[in-house]
Amino acid sequence: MVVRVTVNGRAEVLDLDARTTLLAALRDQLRLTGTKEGCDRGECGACTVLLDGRPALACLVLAAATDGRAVTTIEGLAGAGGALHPVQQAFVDHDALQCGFCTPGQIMSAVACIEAGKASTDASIREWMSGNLCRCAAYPQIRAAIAAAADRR
Amino acid sequence: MTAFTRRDFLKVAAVGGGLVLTISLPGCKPKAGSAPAAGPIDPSVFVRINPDNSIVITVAKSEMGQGVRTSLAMLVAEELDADWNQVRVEQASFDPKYGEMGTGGSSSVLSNWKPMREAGAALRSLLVAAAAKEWGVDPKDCQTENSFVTHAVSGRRIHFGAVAEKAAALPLPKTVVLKPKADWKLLGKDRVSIISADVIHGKAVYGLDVKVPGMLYAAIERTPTFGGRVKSVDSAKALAVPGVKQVVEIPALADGINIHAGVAVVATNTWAALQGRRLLVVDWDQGPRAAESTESYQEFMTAAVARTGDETVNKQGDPDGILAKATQVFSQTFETPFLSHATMEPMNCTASVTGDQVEVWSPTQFPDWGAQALAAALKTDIKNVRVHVTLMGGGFGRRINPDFTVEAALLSQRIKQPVKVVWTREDDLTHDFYRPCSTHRIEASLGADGLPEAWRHRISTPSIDVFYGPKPAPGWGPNESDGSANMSYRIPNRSCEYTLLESGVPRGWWRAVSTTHGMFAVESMIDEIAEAAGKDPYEYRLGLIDKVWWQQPADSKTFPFNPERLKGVLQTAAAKAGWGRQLPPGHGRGISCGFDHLGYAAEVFEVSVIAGRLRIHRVVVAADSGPVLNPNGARSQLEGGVIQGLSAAIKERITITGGAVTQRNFDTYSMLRINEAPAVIEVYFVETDTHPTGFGEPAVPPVAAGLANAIYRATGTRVRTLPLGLRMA
Amino acid sequence: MRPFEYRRVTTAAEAIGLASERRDAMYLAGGTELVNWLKQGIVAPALIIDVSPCALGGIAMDGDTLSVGGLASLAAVAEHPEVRPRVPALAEAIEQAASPAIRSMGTIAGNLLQRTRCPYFRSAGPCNRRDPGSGCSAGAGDQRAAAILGASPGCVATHPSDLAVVLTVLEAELVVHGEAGRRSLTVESLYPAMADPAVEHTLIRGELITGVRVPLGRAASQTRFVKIRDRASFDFALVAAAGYLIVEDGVIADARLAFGGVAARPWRARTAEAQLIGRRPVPDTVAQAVASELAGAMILPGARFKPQLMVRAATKVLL
Repeated sequence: MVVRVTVNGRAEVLDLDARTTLLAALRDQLRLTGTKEGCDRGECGACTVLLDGRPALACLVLAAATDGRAVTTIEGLAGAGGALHPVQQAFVDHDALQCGFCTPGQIMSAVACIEAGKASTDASIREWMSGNLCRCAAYPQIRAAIAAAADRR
Repeated sequence: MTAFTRRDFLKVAAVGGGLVLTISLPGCKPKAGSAPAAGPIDPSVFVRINPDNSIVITVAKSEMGQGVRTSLAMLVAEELDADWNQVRVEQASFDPKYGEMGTGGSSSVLSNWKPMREAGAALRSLLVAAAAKEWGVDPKDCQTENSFVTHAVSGRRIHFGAVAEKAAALPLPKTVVLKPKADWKLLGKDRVSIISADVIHGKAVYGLDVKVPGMLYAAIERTPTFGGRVKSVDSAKALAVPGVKQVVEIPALADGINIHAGVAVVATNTWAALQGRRLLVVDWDQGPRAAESTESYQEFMTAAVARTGDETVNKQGDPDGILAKATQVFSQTFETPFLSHATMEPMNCTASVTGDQVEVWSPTQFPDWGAQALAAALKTDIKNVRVHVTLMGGGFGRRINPDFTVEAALLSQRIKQPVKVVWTREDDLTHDFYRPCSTHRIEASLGADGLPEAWRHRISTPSIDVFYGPKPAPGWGPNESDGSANMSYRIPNRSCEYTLLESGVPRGWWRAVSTTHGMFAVESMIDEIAEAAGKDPYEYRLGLIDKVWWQQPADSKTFPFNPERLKGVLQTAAAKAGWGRQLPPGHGRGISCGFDHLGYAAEVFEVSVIAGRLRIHRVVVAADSGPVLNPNGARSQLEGGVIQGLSAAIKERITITGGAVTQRNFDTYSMLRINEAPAVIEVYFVETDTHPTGFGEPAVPPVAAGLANAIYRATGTRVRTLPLGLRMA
Repeated sequence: MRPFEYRRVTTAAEAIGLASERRDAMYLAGGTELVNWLKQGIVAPALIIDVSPCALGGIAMDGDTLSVGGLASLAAVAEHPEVRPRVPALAEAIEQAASPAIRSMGTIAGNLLQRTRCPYFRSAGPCNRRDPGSGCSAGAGDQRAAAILGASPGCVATHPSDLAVVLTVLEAELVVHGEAGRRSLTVESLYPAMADPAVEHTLIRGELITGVRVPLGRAASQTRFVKIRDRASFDFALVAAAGYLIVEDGVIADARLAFGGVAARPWRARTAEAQLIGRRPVPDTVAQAVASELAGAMILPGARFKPQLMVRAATKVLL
């Protein structure tokens, strides 16, 4: 089936099997491999993207259901000319990653966290980010990065 | 001042208007299945200075989040006086010229500390000589800074890139002088991870992101029971899935590689491969291990530690005689489960085999073991094997094993096409090489002064060594008894006994591995006897650290255990935590300390348990792995180590039912999340002026006991079985 | 995952029309449950009707009723400015139910129709709920999640929805549209009265939950929700409870209480409620009331900790 979806501001026309998840469509068809697959069951948060501006787990979304909608992935977060999004900058400044595999999902959740106004306290950051596992446990730095990015806004 | 000793191996060459410096040493062949060696190993260093001033440093160790690309590049850049912003890192593919590439055992800084700095210093000296020659001045009057050679008297400056080609024509220096710590500009200062620039844009390429031309995708249904075999496969339905090309049986392969019997479904995309796999009808011969379970293991281990062990390690004095005569013997049993690595990126590998030529793209910690295993399993010469090392989404020891690399190559050989084998989370959790389960029993008696007089520590656990090869000669056991036999306290009569648990569960190296369970037992028990003696647990420990109380295995002779360093971290942790100061009601403080992978760590936990819910209010860590090269990275490793240790202590447990792993995804293999991790972890470095070693592992082993001791002070309940989260009922 | 046709609809009428033509259709809303079921082979519909574009996401205070569209996201309900002050338990149950991404994707109707988290339901071994007649693995396995009330011999699965527990206590009403038109039913009656692994809910084929109506007032503002588990994160509850008391002259004049994590449905504790009336609001009263509720309980050895958790949970919400 044909799906018309805007990905990172670009209109894409995808021809896919109805069973394809958004995660598979992004990674395999659009070669946007920044969105990671960690569990494929909605448990780890590594595949978090923004769907019409809200956080969504790409492994639990049928690509077909994104027809006419807008998806933002880690690749589409930086502004014109590669200007870093404040959350990207904060993750670098605070070294809020170790292996980096979960980081795209962490950053997308963090962007949503700040957008939702949930980054005002450490407790609310911790609660909001609890869907994103980091086995390296860069948690202290992730918390600091989000707080800093929220302050900057 | 350090004499430069390796010039015989140095080569310098002009390449494309720039310069390449190599230090190339004959490779040290890694033993298959060997634990990461502790001791200096000579790696190779490749540094390229381009005409545009960019500096490319090849790192022959695997980056898995421990920051090795950053810290090793810093070593070269420091001595070179390079502009850090112009430094890039390239990942080395497998090549024997790099020596030992295996990344594990907190050994990367240990083995690269000298050669990488020497390479930087040699290169700097060449650049200075070239600039001085051009200016007609004495090199002694030249300086370097930020990738420039300068001549203060004349005010001249030249970029490294502009003299690199000329420098390449000059003879190498006979000696180099390495900077004293006081002169460090890069080292010892916070640097962020050099991979972050790619990661934050989603551009970093992990194994899972590799794509090569003509590549197919495969999912493999592996035997659910360890040691099972395929009796028959009905693949008709799988082959009917659009996109599925082939169904291929993968025979089991032991030989230390340990590939499970399985059936691979090969398709034009991952998704079709997974669909096809679901539709396979496989009749399994469950194999000889199908009756094994967590319960059967526990029964064996409990009985094993109730009698004299099959092996005795490091016996001193007469512990048995003294315990037999003691009026009071303190005796406790400690239990720990199997653990999974659960790296965020599941196992995967892309392989392309054409004739006798083998090429793989693998997120592997040990490309050298991988290459050897590939050559052996595919029956080709190692010269025909290419292993490209990708970034990896966590390692923690899982990616030491070559199983996932060899499995993909065997499949590619069979289908004669490039293929990426993708493991699902379920595959990854159910076919790991697990941190062994264990049961420890420690019996101790005290002298009239309240100090321990005898200590008999019995362990039963499935051995890692035995899983990869035959059982070694009698008296063996240092690996399994790490953290147990090398208990560092002054106890003149002591022994560590070991009884092997036979098990079909694959075992492997986990972050700090054996020490994680041995130290849980030792540091819990010492706390218990301190209390029995009516002593403060911190003072008691401190008073028992004075000299080396065990025989050190040969490979740590170069870096002998130093009791003063253990005391140093213990005193620092206690002081910073305000040991002895009053706590709010309901709170408890626990301490533990130890030595692992040449690093020393002490930790203090402050907790409360209210209505059955544990809260960790504060963690204080003091660590000594020598001079700290990148404090930011070292802190991340220590904090990450503490949180991973807490996750294991509180939540993680792999159980075995009918010879198979019960847990399948993160819903049942639960790990600590950001909202559960301690809000406050304070890290303090004790920087003994010595050879630096790694920070990845030493913080993990003290965690479980430190936490359990704190819980005891808060609640009066001793936790002796991990994970404690499952004890709530 | 079996191949399926995907159709997208923009009105409930269109959805119902399609579903009535096709026996093997399923509705897709947030997808956080259905997509996993598809991947795990728990369901294999031939047609997926994506109802998410339907305008059924409204949230409104309508006199003495909070009216929520069936497709309102969990996040939208919890974050609605009037919900927390007037029905705090609803907001709390949602916030404790899932991570922000799941809350933002999942819908209120979908949440009520979740299927059990029993570990054996989602793995390969025998399971009567997944594969009728194959047996129940919980009998000899992990029983921490097992039902203790109203369980059938062949299945000890519990219902995972926290929201359903709260809505049961609030005596919320579901608005359902189907081929036969509109009807309403209580949340309690969405679930079969007698546990039967073959029956998940009482909706007639093709029916769509289009709305949830929560009576406002004393029950809404006073009901409290608690979830007791051994981890601080969002795992499914071992035991959840929702309830409130009205005390007059030092004795309990009215009481409502429901539990989650103890049965194949949200368990309205009517026996306990009756026991509470007329007695003093003290811990002993609650413990005795819960004990009376448990008179007919069938408790597997691995779930013996649950009665104690129920007492703790009930005490927390009632006192």
